[in-house]
Amino acid sequence: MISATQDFPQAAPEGGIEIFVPTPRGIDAAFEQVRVLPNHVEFKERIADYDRDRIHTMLKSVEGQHELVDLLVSQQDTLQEVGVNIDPTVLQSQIEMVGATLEDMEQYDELVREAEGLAQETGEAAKEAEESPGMFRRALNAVGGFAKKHPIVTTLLVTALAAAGVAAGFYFTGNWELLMTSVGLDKWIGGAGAAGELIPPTPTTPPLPGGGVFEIPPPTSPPGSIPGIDTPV
Amino acid sequence: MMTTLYLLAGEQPLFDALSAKVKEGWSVKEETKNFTDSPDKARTRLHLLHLEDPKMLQFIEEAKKKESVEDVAALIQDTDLSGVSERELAKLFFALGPTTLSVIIASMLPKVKKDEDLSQIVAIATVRHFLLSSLIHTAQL
Repeated sequence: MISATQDFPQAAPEGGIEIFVPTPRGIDAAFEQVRVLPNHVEFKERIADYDRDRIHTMLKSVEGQHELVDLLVSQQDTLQEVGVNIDPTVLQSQIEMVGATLEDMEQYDELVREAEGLAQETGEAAKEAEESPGMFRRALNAVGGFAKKHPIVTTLLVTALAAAGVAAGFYFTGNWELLMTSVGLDKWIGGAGAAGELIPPTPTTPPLPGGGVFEIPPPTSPPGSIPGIDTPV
Repeated sequence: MMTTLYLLAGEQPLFDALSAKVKEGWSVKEETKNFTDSPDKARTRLHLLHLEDPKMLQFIEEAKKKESVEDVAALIQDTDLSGVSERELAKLFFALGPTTLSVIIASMLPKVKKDEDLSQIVAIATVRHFLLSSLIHTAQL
């Protein structure tokens, strides 16, 4: 099964189907698997020039997003052969979300790089760096210093790592709230459910007998709101 | 030393409630940037997290071998982040998102007893401030 978090190949969820999240890595990995199939010549020719950089760029433009949606939906049966389960009902919104997040990540990475560039800045120059990357650099430095020892901050960061790395389609999906309770985050974040929404694993959709994932409504967020998650921070 | 706290309007009463001695020397600016998080946004950030630190990758490998929630929880609790670079921590903060940092800040503020406690909150609030500055496109979704 293909996951979008391709740095961390994931186990297939027992009794469930993971809905594909169209990240650059995920789409690229899916196309790589299609390329080694024995047939599907037309599809393989169509994606011959698609590498991760191109996919990344496409995800950030409206035209590219439409092209990817058309391509993925039109080839969903082939993609399913390699374990990639496209949900056409949510693909457009997923791709828009990925594209927007990529744009935001680039903005953030730029700030981090600028902050690193000021790592040697000291004294008056650093003092004058209010509202600048220098301030961000000092904040990262300070957070890095105590986050490594602060139990809750460390637990939050490591749990996010677990959510990103192993939770998608993972055996403890469905037990995520229990995990939040076990590591003590439920007490800090206003309940295990709230913690699970702040650091959500990828939901799985149980397969229907004789049916496919496309016959099942897409996963939705639980009804109701929790403080902070459905309201502006 | 950073002495300015970027606090949301709802957090400012928590700061105001601290003793005058603790508040001395610190100033507050209102955090005016808004971001409404959602499970889908958080999930997408987590999916796009790309880490390179060997210690974090090792954690993932070990977590994948665990067979119960209790085992994964124990691994999380036994893992510290010493030696992990600020750049990698910055990526994790992006994945966590500003709302989680707001929860941390709201939890920590009432417990402030000394300057060191406030300087930790200043650092987290400043990271949140820059996160909020970056989350422009997803804020519109």
